[in-house]
Amino acid sequence: MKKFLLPHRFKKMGLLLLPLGSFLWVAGQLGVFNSLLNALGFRYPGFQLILITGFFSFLAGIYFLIFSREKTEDEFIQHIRLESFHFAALFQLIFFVVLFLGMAIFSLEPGGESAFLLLLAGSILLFWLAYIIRFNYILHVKNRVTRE
Amino acid sequence: MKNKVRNFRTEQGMTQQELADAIGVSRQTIFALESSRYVPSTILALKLARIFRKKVEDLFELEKKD
Repeated sequence: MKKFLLPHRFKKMGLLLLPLGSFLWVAGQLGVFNSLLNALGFRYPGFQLILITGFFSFLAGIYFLIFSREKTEDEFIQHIRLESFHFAALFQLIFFVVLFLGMAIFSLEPGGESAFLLLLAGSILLFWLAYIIRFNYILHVKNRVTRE
Repeated sequence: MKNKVRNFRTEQGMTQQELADAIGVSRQTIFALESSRYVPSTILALKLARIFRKKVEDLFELEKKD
């Protein structure tokens, strides 16, 4: 597993890029930058550039957070990584089951095909977010217990 | 699986951090090992045995449930 991992310094970059990318993407979608872009006469391709930058920063942030080494990347950390992957897979599976049961039993259908695709894309991100949260939470707890 | 890592470590007057540095793992790993929350790989078990100059069987002991 170690050969897929990036150096530890990428974790800090991930911590910066993930919220920054999310902010750019959401703010761009909400039109926060519209007045500024209009004033600058840069509506096109400025708007698209912001959305693309935000989206890829978000993806890079996730990638860096997941695949960067810990300071001491030993077999115990890799054990926690594996457990966290299992947890994330189970979490995503439960999400899928609940989603499709909700649609089948309660007729909760997302509005249109694009909304359904958005839900599926969201569930893929859910896997990675579940992994990041679980892995870092366990590390935090282990660190705290060891310090005590 | 039970282990006597804590006993041998304190016998030799080592801290958890010193033992961790000696075998190239984190202090959390030593803590998890000593509290039997983690079963190490063969490589790590052999490294521990070498540090303590003991046999692996002296360090680790199978329990009924194993």
